[in-house]
Amino acid sequence: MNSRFQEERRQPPYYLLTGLLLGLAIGFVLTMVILPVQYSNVPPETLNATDKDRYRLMIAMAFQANQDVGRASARLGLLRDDDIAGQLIQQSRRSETKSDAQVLLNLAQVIQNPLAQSVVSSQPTDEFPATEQAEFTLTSTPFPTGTMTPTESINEIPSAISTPQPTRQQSTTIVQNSPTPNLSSDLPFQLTENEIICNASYSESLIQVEVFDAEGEPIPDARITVTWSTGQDTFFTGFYPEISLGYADFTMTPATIYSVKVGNIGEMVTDLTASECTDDSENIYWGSIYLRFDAP
Amino acid sequence: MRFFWFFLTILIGLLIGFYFGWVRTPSSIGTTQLSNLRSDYLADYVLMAAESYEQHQNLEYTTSQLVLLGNEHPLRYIQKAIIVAEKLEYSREDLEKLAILAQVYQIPENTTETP
Repeated sequence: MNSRFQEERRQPPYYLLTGLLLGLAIGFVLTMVILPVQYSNVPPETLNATDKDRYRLMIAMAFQANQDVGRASARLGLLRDDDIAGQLIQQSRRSETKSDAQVLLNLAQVIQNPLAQSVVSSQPTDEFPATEQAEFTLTSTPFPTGTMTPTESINEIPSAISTPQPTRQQSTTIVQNSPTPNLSSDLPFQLTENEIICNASYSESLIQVEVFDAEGEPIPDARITVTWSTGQDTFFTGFYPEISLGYADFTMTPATIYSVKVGNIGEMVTDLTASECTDDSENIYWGSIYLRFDAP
Repeated sequence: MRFFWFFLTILIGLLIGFYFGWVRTPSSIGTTQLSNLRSDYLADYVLMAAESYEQHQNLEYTTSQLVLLGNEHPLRYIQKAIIVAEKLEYSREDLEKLAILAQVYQIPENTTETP
């Protein structure tokens, strides 16, 4: 008996350790999972990456409307980014839509060069995918109006929708006549390849442009100007890094004749128009054009 | 007596867990959402939506931007923004932009009420 009693006394108090671990586990589950710290009244710099992108895009869209660089800079300053213009450019490259990317890039260029003169341009080719399906058309008014097809998320607010129409019109701004020229803008790019592409998988007839430097490296942010009899569009390479940093494209309207130029003094390629192609089943569709420009 | 000490250690464990979970190492503050923004920043966000709406006139797109602020009707956020904007003495132009956007959200409601 005496020896058994002594054995029991010698056992360490495991139940205390068990209790402590149990308490810790409950405490961590409560504080980390069930009732985590909720922040409120926070500044924009603390937003998560996705919401920072949304905030940045909102700033760019507001800038597009009011053209107030000072206000846009102050707002961007709230995000405490080290490289404001760089962040805008990076976000433009991962944007879901070309229109978003263009808006962000416009702001980035103005931030980089606040003295740049901005003008209003139109973008017939930019499209909103999925819920933002939109068609840009040439217009001379700075604040065109339009509506879009309602989506499920918007149906939650039925009062917000009056007479939806399938497309909307929107203008964007581009920067021109920059006092500090873009590196690629003043290079005399020359056409080195002009090819008709007959690919039935393309849903649209495109002018596909690729711009390369003298070393054969693709050039992002190179300005491409497309003109036709009734209008002009300016856009930039680099929105499709998955294809090439020097790639950009433009949707052609069949039977329209286009001219394409890269930068300010690049070679003007004229008389470009969509060609008819025929698939294996003798069906006719509109082909695309591939243009390669190289810096000398 | 064992139960007393057992529950006491659970309590101590809980307190340590609360301390580390809520005080010492709470979730990073860099993970907040737009809905957590301070009222003046929220007002500025709504103003940005109003500014861009003035250009594109696309109510659906503006709504998609405002619903990110929470579960309330966008009009509610615009009304709150107007109150904050008045307090912070926003310019007349900015207040007008907010008011126009608020009106746009109110118009369909009024028209549905009137047979």
